[in-house]
Amino acid sequence: MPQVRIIAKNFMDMVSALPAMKLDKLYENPFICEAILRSLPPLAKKYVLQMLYIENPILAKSMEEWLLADGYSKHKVALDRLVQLRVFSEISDSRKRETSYILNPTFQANLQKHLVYGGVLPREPMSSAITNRLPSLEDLEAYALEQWECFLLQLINSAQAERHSNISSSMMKVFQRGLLSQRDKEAPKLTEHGFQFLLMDTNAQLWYIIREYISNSEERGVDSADLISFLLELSFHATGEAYNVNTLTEFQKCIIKDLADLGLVKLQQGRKESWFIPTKLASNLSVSLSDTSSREQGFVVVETNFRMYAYSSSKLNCEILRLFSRIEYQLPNLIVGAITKESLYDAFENGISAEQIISFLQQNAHPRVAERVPSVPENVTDQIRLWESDLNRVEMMSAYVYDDFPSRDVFESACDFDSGLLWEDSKKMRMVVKGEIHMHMREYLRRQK
Amino acid sequence: MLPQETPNCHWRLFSEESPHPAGTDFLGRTPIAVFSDIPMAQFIINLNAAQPASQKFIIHVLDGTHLFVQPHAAEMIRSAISEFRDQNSYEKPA
Repeated sequence: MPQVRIIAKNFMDMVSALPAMKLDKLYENPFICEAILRSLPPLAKKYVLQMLYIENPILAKSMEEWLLADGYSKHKVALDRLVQLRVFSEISDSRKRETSYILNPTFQANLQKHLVYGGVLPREPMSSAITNRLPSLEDLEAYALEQWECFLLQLINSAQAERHSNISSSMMKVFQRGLLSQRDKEAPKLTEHGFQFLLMDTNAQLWYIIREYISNSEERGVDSADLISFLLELSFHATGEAYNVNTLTEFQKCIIKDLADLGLVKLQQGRKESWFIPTKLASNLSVSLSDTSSREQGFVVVETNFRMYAYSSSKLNCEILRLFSRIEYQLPNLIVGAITKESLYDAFENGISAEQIISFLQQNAHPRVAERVPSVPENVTDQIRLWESDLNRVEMMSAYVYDDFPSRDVFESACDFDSGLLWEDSKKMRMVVKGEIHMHMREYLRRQK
Repeated sequence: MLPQETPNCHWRLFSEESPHPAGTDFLGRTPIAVFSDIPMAQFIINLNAAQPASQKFIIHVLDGTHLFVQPHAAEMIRSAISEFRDQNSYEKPA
């Protein structure tokens, strides 16, 4: 089965893919500079801070002198990243044939200001006199989770979602692109990507959706640089504090509505003012930049008899577990199921791999079993892998057999030609070659003749 | 196991020109190399032996784990293997 994975692509790759002018405009926002600094590899961070107050370019050779003997590859990676993000500009002196690096001036100025004055958000939290009752952090987290789950349920199966969020159906279609496939007169069905998407952890899913949202923004006439800068700014707001909606620009107000549907902020209305409260999902945006994921509480216990107990009441979790196990009972706070051969075969047919199932079970292990090593019993994980390999006992591919070689030299040279060799038997001078390179091989051997 | 000389044998490079482009059959499919483990290879060879002479699909048995078959046999082999796998599983009577 083809192993196609969705990669929750790093936000930074998207940022670095922006055209140069947009990127420079982004750096006018000090929060973006800080977010980008946070996302750099450690060596790159060090270089940026070292160069922060230096006005002149530094020779590449002198930078290399800062390294220990075995650090060269990391140095290269860090420099590539910095140049890609246009944080460093490369200056080549053709006369002396030297390259030197200099820090992007806008980036430099903003980061210096940020360092000295601290980050001052364009808006202050509102005083509690106006906002009478702010939800507690737990309530806020529950709200965010509920919104996010409702969104996901609607994404994968509109019939099941209890209430429809306000995201327009055209936006939904954009998100569903690649995750669902729809044939005429049939209900939309999850694609292979869709299944893998469901098994990813929340941060990865959030990033995927945000990435789709941003890539789609150009089509809707929204400037993606502004969108990225607003999202990054939002991630620096304090979770649980109320911020006045009137401090947002028109453009930002539209975005906020979409973000509320995703569960990133909570919108509330007072008598005269309305405000938004960023949730943990929003502050996770900048955390995810550095690729660490905060572990949510796990809920699945897998036993050595292949039974599975999931302490969750969420419909979404039930759907996810149904992907690869047979659900037997659903109680108010518990889902009981069993991992069976048939249920796993169904999952494999849908394109989910054994590794994904196992890592899902391990990442979502209930705290009571999570400390145990291994968190999922080995007999279960081994059996899942064995069942997967049982489906792949026979491999078939289009190929050609070449026989009747006039001499051993021709045979040897044909074996070395191209990498399409699948099998060879030197004694009988016979070889099997991939179907795709058949024509090339024919030409090559004709020329030899 | 003797190789079965079949009428659509396109794989001899130096002796025969294939009438169809790039050695494909009339439906444009190419012959298939089958890589498996030894028991499965024996299963496929057995399947071949059970076919009537006009429908035998193995062009050549390369060694214990590699076979070379006609294009149309892929589906037949897959369904035979999955039937074999189902027969091997125990279903608890409901």
